[in-house]
Amino acid sequence: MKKILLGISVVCALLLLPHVAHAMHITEGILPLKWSLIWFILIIPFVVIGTLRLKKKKRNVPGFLPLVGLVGAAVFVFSCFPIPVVGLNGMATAHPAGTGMSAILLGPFVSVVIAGIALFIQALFLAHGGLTTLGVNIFSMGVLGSFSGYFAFRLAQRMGLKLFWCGFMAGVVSDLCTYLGTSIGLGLLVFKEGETFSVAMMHSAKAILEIFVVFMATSQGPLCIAEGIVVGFALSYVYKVRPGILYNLRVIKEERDAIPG
Amino acid sequence: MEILKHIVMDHFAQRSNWLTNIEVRVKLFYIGIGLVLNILSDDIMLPLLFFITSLLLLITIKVSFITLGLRMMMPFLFGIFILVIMGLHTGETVVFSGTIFGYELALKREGLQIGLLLFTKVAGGVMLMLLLSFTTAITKICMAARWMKIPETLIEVLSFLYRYLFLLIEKTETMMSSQRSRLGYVTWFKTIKSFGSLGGMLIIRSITRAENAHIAMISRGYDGGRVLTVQLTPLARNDYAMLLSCGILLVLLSCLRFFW
Repeated sequence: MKKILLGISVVCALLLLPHVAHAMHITEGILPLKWSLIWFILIIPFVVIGTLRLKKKKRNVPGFLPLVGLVGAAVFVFSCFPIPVVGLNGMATAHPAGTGMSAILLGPFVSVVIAGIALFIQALFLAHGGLTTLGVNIFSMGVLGSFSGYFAFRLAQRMGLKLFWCGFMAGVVSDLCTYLGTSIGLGLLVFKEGETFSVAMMHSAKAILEIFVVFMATSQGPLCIAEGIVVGFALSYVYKVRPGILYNLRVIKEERDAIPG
Repeated sequence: MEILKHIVMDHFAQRSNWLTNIEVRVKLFYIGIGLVLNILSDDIMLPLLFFITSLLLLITIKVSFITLGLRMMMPFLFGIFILVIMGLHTGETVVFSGTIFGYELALKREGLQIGLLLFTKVAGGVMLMLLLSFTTAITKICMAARWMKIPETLIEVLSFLYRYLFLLIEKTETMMSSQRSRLGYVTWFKTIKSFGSLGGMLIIRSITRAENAHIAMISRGYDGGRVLTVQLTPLARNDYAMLLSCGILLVLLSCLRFFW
């Protein structure tokens, strides 16, 4: 029996591998209305602040909005790069989240807005994610992904790490937090109102952990590292070719922030 | 990447047929209420009805099963994942049990039933969304968003992002094929490095393009104001009739499950 179960789980993991990368978006129909509304309420402050910042910046710098739109499109394309899962020799590919990159370039609040718009397009045209699950997806990818990536980048800069490693940290941490957010969103589905709060939380915590382990054990663990390396290389490349872009976007402020990788 | 361009592009919505000609607000009303009813449903009949009716409507405008299957594949896999997770965590009656790496696993009947309900909700919900995306162009959605008083800034960013997405996908394809011809993807590390420089190049191209686009827009009279200048016209009599029909259809679908 053990061998059969092990075989089934390996087959299931392999079947899911090529596609699991898009599992960072919780699909339409999964969340009950209550949870859907809770997640929407949670993201409102971030989206409002992001939109206000965009408005303010648009007034001061008229060319900022096309810049945000185009960088957003670039990050959208970046998030579709088919990165091969290490060890499977091209049998399966995974896709980066991209929010770490957008948070570094545009700041975490604007990145939340970009993530929200990208998720809306993906929900409608790629059927990845959904409209009633947009709240939880923005929370995991936009809020958790952007803020964790941004702070990881700034922390690495303060530690005096090279630009490549700062980008690497942002890519890895934002990816990990995005999957943690998705796991929380899914794990809370087993939360039962009939049970006492502590028991219900225990059940949910167990489910969150299991989902996170499944994500990490399949393609997402290696993907985090791969995304980190890609973000690191991308930033180093921009610094090497057009350092002015990083100065203008305030990714690096002083010469000491930009030790090339 | 080539596939991505075809999937993201709203070429189905650009065609002229009876579904694309329906007023965007009527469609949004039907899809919005449908999605809420779908997630509120406590049995599998209503989500299944949404799935079947949306599928039939899409077939009338000649959307192929392959196109639909490609888009439904990922949500279906996600639905199966949720079915297993619910089966493992909810309920008492064990229908299948075993151990993996010393970890006790037991699938329970009640959990599987909830999982099945969620699976049908995924199918119904995604098909409703596809009904919207296959029949409504993004510009119409932007116009409707403006009518719904969604902040102008968000609509502008959405318009810019969608407008330049295809251009950047095309540039990426060209750069990828050049990298491939120079053996940029032969090993895992080379692949990652190639993606890194591709990502960096994308950022540079997007910023240069943004500067050029802004200069071009200024020369065409853009002063930081609205990008969308066309507004939706007030609803006509036939739009109200369609709105009423959608309402009746939704009520019928909701009631049908009681007689099933």
